[in-house]
Amino acid sequence: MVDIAKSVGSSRILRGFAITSPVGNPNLGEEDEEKSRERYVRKALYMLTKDGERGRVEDI
Amino acid sequence: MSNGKYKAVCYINQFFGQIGGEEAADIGFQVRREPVGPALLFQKLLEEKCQVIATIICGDNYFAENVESAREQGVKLVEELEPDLFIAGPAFNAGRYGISCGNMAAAVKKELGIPTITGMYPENPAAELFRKDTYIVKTEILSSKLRKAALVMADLGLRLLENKHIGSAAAEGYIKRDVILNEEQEKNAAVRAIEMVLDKLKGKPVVSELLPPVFDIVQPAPKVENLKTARLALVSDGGLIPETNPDRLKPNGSTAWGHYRWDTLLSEKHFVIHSGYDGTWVLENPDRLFPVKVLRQYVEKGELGYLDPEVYVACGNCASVEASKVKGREIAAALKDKGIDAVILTST
Repeated sequence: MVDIAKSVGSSRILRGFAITSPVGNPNLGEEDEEKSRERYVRKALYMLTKDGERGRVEDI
Repeated sequence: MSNGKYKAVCYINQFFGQIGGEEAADIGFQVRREPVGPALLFQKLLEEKCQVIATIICGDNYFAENVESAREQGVKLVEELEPDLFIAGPAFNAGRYGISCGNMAAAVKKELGIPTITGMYPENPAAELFRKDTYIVKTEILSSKLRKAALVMADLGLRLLENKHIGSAAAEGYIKRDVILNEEQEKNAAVRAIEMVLDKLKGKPVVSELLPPVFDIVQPAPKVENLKTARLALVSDGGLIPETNPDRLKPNGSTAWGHYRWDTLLSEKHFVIHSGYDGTWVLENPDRLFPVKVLRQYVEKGELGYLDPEVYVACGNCASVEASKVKGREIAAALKDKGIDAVILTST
């Protein structure tokens, strides 16, 4: 879905884990999944504090 | 008609009318009762069935600086001449000339009901303004390519006049008008689809029958200066909603959206209405769609100012671009009313 956001010109695009689970990796155990979710949220909040650029995609 | 032939009137500017260049761009309307400049070429190309009875000449600046009154004057002149066909330009890539040709062709068609045709280079700014109001044949940039453009304009113009079938923009060589045309094809869709796939596999060029929409440009919002005082809300197109579906979201093609207190949403029956992805993981742990728990920890630690207790939900499955824009604007307005500074939007 990242390609669509890109093509439409969205900014501050963070690639999520999967379509069926954007924030966090469900394949990990509970504790590890929480940690992975935390990483996504931390990165997203960080991106909010930076200038946006249309079509740029970032990863955690 | 006059002597058994259709009557055509051409519109050109001061330059093509051989009156002068920029210094003559202020001249007002003139009518010459004969083909002048490019109109001579149109006369030749159409001579079998048409006679160019007059050429209307007007300065580019005169028109562009007084569009309303110039258009009115121009239409009146055409009305008096009573043509069966009106040809403007072609304007190639000239902006002001494009404005006058586009205005004239659109107005004559609309107000006098006369078929009209003009020509422009596709990037002429006037093309976007008038492509839906008249037929604009695609031309090259240079006016030295007049003959090439005139051939297409003449052919299309005559068929318009005679009420014959006009095909798609791609087939005929005019700028697309966003008009959906039903045409019977020799081969049915299944056959055409397979042929397209085979062409693609062979590395041959493939032209889509339907062109995707063009997206507008939205500037990124300015960055958040300080997360510690920022008020954040969560939005998603993942369609996680109360079982009662009070806002009537649809499994696909949905234009509705809702907002729900997170704690209430979870404590009551809820489901994923979005039929375009498997909602199992999200239902198992909704924080995978709305990371509320983590964000609340941030607020507790003082690292984030505030998290909206409500989440904003839409269903993104097969949502049209237009509908999505509307939803986005509406949600943004609702959030602004609440003093929300920033959003994390998750998408499935």
